[in-house]
Amino acid sequence: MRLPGMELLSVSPNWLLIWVVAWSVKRTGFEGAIAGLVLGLIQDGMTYSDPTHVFSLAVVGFLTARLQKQRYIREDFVSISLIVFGMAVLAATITALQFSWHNPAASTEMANRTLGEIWTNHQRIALSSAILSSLWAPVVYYPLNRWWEMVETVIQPQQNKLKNQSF
Amino acid sequence: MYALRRWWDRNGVKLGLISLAIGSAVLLRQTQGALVFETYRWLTQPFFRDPAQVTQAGSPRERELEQRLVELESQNRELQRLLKYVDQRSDKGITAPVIGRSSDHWWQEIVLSRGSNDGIQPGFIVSGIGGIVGRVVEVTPHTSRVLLISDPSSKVGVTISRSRNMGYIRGQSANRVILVFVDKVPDVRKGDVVTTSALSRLFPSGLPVGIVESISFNKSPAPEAVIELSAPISHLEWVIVSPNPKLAEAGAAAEKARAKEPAKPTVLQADPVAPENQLTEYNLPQESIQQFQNRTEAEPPPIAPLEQPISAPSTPEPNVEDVPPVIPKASLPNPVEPAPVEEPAPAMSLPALPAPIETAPPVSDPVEGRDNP
Repeated sequence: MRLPGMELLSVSPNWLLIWVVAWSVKRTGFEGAIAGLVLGLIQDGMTYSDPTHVFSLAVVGFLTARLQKQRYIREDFVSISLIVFGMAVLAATITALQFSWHNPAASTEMANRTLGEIWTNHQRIALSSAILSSLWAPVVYYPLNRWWEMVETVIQPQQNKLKNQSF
Repeated sequence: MYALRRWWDRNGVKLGLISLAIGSAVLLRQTQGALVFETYRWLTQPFFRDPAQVTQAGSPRERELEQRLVELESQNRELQRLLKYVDQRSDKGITAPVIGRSSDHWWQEIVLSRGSNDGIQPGFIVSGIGGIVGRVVEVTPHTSRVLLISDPSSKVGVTISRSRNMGYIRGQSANRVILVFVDKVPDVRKGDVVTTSALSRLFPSGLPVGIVESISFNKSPAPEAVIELSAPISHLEWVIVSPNPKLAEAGAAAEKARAKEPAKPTVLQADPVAPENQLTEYNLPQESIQQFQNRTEAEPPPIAPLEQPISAPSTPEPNVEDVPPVIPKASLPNPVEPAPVEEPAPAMSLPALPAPIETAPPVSDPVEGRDNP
C-alpha cells in the first residue's frame, strides 16, 4: 500500500516487518520465528520467491523476541521504533546477502544483478525502509497491542478456569 | 500415555493454529498470492476511475499530433501491405488500472486489475502513456503482476533511434535507467530518443523507451548514458497491455525454456537459445559497424523497410509500425519524414543478415517507386 508522500527514494515502509516486530516483542522466540515464517511465505507468494523472505522475517521475529524488551524498558513507542529501525536494516542486509550468494548461479534473472548493484541498492533500501518503517511502526503497533491486551484479559480467566478443572 | 494426553490438552489448540497458519501461508505461496490480489482488487474496485478521463487529457497540440500519427500509421500500414510486408502485430490492447505496487523493495513491480479472464498472459507488453513500462510476469483470473523496466534485474535491448547505436538498459529503480552501449564510441547526443531494438527478444522493436539525459564516455567496459523514461513510472494510473508478437513466434525452444521456470520473470535471459544480453552483444560491434557503414553508403534510406520481409523468416519479427509515432513526437528538431523510413534498416542489419540484402533492393525498389507517387 502506498499513499502519496509515504515513499522515500521510491521505497515504502515494510509493513510486514513492523507487524512481525509488534507481534514478537512480548512473545517467545519460537512464536516470533513462526510469525516470521508465515508472513515470509505470504510475501513470497505475492512477490518473487527466489531469495525467500521467510529467512529474514523469521530471524527478525526470533531476535526481537530474544531482546526481551519488557524486562528492561517499560516505555513502548520510541523503543518499538528503535527496534523496527534495527530490524529493517538487518532484514535488508539478509536479503542482500541472499542475493549475493545466489549471484554466481546464473539461469535466473538474479544473475542480472551484479554485486556492486546489490550493495548500492542495499544502502538505499536499508536506510529508507528503516527510517520509514520506524516512523510508521507505532501506527501498527498501538492498535495491535491494545487488541492483544484486550484478548488476553478476556481469554486468561477462561484458561485459568480450564486449568483448574483439569487438575 | 497420560502425560502425552495432558501435553496434547495443553498445546493441541496452539499446535493446530500454528499448523493452520503455516498451511494457509504455504497455500498462498503456491498460488502466488492469487487470493490476496483478488481480494485486494475486489476491495479497490469502487475507486477505479474511468480510463477515458485519463487518456482524453491533452492539449489541442497533442491531439493534433495524435491525429497526424494515426494518419501516418495507416499510411505506413498501407505501404507495408503494398510491399507484402507481413506484420503480425495486432493493435488490440487492454487498458488496465494499476491497483498496487510491489510489496518488496528489491523488485519494482505493479499490480494490474486485469488478468487471464481478460486474455492477459505472462510475457505481454505493458505500456503507459509515453512508452513501455514493463512485462507481465504473473497472472491470476483478475489481476496481473508486471515487472517494470526500471527494475535492476530487467535488461532490455535498445537502440538510439537517430544513429541506430545499440545497447541495453539496466534499471535504476526510479524513473531513470542506465543505457550501456555496445560500441566503444557511440554516436549519441543529449536528447536522443531511445527505442527497443530489433535484437530484443522480449519486446517488439521500436517501442519508445525514453530520452537520453546525460552521457559518460569514460565508463570502463563500454560508455553509458542515463535515460529518462518517457512513461511516468512512479505514478502510473492506467496502462495498456498488448500481446507480444515476439513471444508468439518464439517457438518450441523458447516454450521449453520458459516451462522450466514458470514462476520466474526471466527478463532477457530467459531463452538460452539466443540470449540477447551484454555477452552476445559485445561480440557484435566490429561486424555491425562495418555492415552499418557499408550499407548506409550503398543504399538510400527508402529501401530499408524492404529488407524486412526477406529477413523476417529467419530473424525475430520486426515491428516497424511503432517506430514512426515516437520519433517525430519526442525529437522535434528532426525532420518527420525520413525518420520512419530509415528506422528499421540498420537495426535489422545487426543480427547477422545473410545474402538477401544484396538481392533485395533491385527487386523491390521499382515497386515502391511506382506505388508511392
